[in-house]
Amino acid sequence: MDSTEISVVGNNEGVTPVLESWDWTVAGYLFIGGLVGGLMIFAGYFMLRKKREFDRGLRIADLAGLPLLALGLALLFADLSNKENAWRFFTTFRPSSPMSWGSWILAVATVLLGLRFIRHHRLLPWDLPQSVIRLLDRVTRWTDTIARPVAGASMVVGTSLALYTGFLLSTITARPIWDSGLLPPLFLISGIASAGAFLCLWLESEAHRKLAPLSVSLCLVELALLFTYLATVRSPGSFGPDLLTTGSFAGWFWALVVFGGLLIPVTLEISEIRHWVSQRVAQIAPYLKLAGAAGLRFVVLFAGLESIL
Amino acid sequence: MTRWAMTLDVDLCLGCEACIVACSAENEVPVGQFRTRMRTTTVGTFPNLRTEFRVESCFHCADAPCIDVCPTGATYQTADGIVLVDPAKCTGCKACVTACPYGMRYVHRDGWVDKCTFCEHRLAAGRQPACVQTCPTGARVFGDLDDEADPINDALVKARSVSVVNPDTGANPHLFYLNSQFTNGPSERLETT
Amino acid sequence: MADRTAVPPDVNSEAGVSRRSFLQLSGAMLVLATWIQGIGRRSVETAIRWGIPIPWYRQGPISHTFTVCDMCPWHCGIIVETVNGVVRKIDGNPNDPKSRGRLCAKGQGGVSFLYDPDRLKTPLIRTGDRGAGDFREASWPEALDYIAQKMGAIRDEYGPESIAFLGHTGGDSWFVDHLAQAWGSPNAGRPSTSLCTGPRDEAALLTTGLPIGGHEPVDWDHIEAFALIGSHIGEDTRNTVMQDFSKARARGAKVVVVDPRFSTAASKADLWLPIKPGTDTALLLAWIHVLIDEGRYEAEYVDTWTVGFEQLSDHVATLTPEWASGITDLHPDLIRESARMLADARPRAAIVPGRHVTWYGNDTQRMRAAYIFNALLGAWGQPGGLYLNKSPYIESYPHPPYAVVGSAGGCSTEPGESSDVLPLGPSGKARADGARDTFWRGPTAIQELIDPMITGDPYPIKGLIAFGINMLHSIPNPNRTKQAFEALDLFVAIDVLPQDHIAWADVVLPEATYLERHDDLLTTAHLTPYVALREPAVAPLFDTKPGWWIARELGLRLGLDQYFAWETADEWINTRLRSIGSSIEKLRDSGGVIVQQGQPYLADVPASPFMTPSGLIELWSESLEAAGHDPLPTFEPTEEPPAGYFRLLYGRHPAHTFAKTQNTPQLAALFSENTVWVGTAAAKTLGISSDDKVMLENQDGVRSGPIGVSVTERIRNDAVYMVHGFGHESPDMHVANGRGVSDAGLQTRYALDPISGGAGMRVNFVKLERTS
Repeated sequence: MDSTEISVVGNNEGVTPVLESWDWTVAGYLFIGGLVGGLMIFAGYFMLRKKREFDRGLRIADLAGLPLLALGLALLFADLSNKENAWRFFTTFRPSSPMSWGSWILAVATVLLGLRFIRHHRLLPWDLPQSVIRLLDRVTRWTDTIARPVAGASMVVGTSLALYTGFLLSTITARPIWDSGLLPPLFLISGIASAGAFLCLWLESEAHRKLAPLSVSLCLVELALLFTYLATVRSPGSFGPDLLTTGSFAGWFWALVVFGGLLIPVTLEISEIRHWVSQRVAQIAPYLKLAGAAGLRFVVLFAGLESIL
Repeated sequence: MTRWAMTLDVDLCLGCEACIVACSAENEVPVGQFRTRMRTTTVGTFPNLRTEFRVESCFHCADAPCIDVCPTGATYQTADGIVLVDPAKCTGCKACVTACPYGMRYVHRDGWVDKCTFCEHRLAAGRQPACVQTCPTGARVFGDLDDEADPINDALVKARSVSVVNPDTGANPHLFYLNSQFTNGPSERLETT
Repeated sequence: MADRTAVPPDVNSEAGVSRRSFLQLSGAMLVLATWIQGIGRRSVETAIRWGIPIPWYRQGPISHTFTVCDMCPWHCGIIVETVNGVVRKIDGNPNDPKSRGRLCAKGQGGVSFLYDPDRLKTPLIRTGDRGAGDFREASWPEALDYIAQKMGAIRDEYGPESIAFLGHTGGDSWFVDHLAQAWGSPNAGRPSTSLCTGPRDEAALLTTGLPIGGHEPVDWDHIEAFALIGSHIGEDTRNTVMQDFSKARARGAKVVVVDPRFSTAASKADLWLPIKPGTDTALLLAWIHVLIDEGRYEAEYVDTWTVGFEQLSDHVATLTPEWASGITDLHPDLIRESARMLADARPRAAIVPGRHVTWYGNDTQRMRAAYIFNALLGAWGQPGGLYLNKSPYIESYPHPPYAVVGSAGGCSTEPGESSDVLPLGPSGKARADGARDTFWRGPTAIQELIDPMITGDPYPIKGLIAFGINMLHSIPNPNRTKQAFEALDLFVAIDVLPQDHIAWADVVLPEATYLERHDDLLTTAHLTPYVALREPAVAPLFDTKPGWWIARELGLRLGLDQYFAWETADEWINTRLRSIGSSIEKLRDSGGVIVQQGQPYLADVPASPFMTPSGLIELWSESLEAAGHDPLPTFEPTEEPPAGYFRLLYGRHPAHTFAKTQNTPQLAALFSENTVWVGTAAAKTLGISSDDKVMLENQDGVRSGPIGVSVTERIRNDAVYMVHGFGHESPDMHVANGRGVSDAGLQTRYALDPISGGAGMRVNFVKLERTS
């Protein structure tokens, strides 16, 4: 049998033979981006429905949104290798570049989340000067006058944010695993589901139980999307989706994303609805889902870097 | 119009690596980083062997996927087909590094993304790219595809075969390999042993 | 140095304006225009382009210096681009017959070599034990006085012959030829003869009376078929040869490569003969047999230009391809086919004289067999064969007769130079290397000077001036050489880098690199003989000095004033150039080289050019017979590796010159440490893979440090291969230190060529042992 020997002089570390252009900071950002997008959708929904039972959920979304986004932005900034030019994102808009879309979406999201965050300034663990407090209260009163547009914007921007994290990868056709139109909706649904799980961590069991059917449906949709994605993504041999299903990422993919992140929590939630298991046991479901959603980003990102046309 | 392109006759190339060093010196590429690399592929069993050397640098693709993903316009293509990076606009987001199907971009030690420029500064002075000028075997021809009298068109016509690395990317590379013994197969991928 | 400005010669000159001033003017205008244009284009962005360095070619006017490369001994003409006193880029000089405007990786790496932070920076005098590497800095006068005093003491006690002058690289002539001969030591030599090309030149002198010279006289432009015996063009990256090889192939010339390894050249060959190492002479004799047996030789040429055909014919009558097949492990059909491939292109065909040919000790005879084959093809002196090279006409610098006639030789031995003289030094002693005793003739065999340093036999060598020669990597068995260092009264090392042997030196003198110094004119025997100028592109860095200056200062201190009546290298060079109506200034204006007319073919010369006793090509050599050697080449088997051992083969990497460039950052980045090539089947038996590291142990129990493995189909399973020149021990070479393994270290023995004194180094065997 013929053997093939290949050697390369002049590889650049981090590019060839192993592409490591993006690392855990980007994967972490993709997860947080989806989570914040989902939270913004929930917040907008809660605002529009104006139901009392959603007040706590809205407050949690308001309080968590901005700090989470800040964390995400910090991760994104950490990834830039030429940080002194970061401001360049905001001197241009390039429609062909999801990252350019993303930078503007993030800018708007920061404003929206900021407006929601400052209404809770009294919860801050430090004292603000009176002038600042007066200003924040005036801004809050003003935003209340445009509550419906803000709610609508929150849902639209949240959706855009979660979707774009998928487009960011799916437009890079050089990585076959990312080259799928299903990645944006998958990341969107996963983002909403993780936001739901995040809220569940803080909600009383009553509200929790009310959300459960929604949560189950989201997980089922996500499962459906995930398997359709796997079935349809381009598959040039051993560098394609089998990296996820049978290749070097299979263990993480099946254990963390599919079973840990979707099937087990769904089973738990259904069992809880049916009272097959105690609430205490079911309480681990949101943690599993959050871990699964993060795992999805990590697995897809790193497998994508390895997958080559 | 001008459409710059390069051919590399792999039958002539001896893998001597002169182009790599010429490129690094001309373009002040940091030691340990490269705009040009050389791949040696050997197929067969002793004593029926074929070995081929293929030097690779940015292919200056006509439909370069690195350009669209750039969020700041730092990566752009000149009217005559050269894909360039403006370090002053580059944030180092590495979308282009990730989007290049051929692994031709790298993050310069000083932060920005860097790659072959076809030595556009030398072209401006009427000189050949550093790799072409130094190549002891004459394996490389650089020129204007749109100029029928340009030697590059002669090289392309006379070649027994013309290939590009992995045409399936749709990027339309403009570094053409002439007279390769190997067709595009798994050995074309960015794997190494 | 800024006034040494010129522009590459593709710029046309204008009538009425001197070329140089025109070039300067236009250069200045170009810079100005670029600057203005730059302001316009950049003004908007300038304010926000912080942190983005300005590329070197926009930092100021670029000045160009025509000079000659010294990254390897091939010596290509180059153009050095300098901005603000800093060398930034080197290109080939289009006027130069060797570089023709192109350059190899090593030549391109010259900038990185020049600015290597590990360079020797100041004279050093040893303070600790030999080998410990403890030195104190010294001034030049102190260091030179110290050397002169010690040299004087050695002369007084033992005679001037007891100091050896060994050198390599461009500029070594100041020490190995001029200073050594003025001083009176016949013990002067270069590794490029007995450790490299010696047998090839002796064989040529014995066969045709013409040395091969520094530039193998292959008529590449017209050749139609050629064979390489072990020459690994492409890995051995002599620029011109790569160009010629490629052009010939592109033209359709047939290529036969004989090599135990599927070398780069083999991968380009029409026929590859994966020969069993050590059996090349058998193959060559069988090839000769095929030519004669099948009548595929130039009968008329053989009649006219050769003697001894009858004897040759009888000699090879039974040496059939079938006979050779059992020896060489090559199929008889392959031997026939390859012989015919070459023969059918005659006379435009030849076996290319190799370069490093000191392999098995019978090397002069092997090279004779190749030359005899070439003679049967009618190659010598015919278009498409081997041209008659000629040195350029230029006079030597006039100086009083030397104290001793030189016998250092070199890979650029001049045609007609007699190499069988054995000169005596002022106190009546001939060379200590055993010439006429352990071997017959040829230039100084430097490896044979090591034992006299240790044993004092035939007489003691107590002083050693080592200029640019890598003592511990070029001479086999470095442990013996270190032992010799211990016994010396004076060891002076002159070098650019703190190479391994520096640690044993009493005095270390830092030399300026080739980009910072003048050297004597480069006079090259060639198809078109030419003279090239080496002059500095920048002033010497640190407290380094050019070789000519060091030699002169030393010479004056040694009382050799009459040989150093000149004050600068300029003066020396200009004096020589005056003999051909030129000057440094004129040489610069003509693009760094003066090319003369050659007489490359037999048709060009009035009488026989072959300077043998018979005036013909001596297939059968009376001289050899008279000296007690075989008048016709015979195959002598070489010792086989014992079970479990492999023959250790070695060669070059395209980006490295010997052991000189491993510390050059830009070249080390391409290949920082060598590996040992092991055949796939052998590796399987040994249970090793390319992920492993192994220790090598040779037949004498000498062990190497760990080395990586390259398991490959590209080598026979009875030999292993490694790139030469790695495994540096000097801690001051921060890039190279501890990288890879030295092949010289594993060469604890060599087979002395009884004719040329060459040291055959492919007689060492190693076994591999996996490290944990």
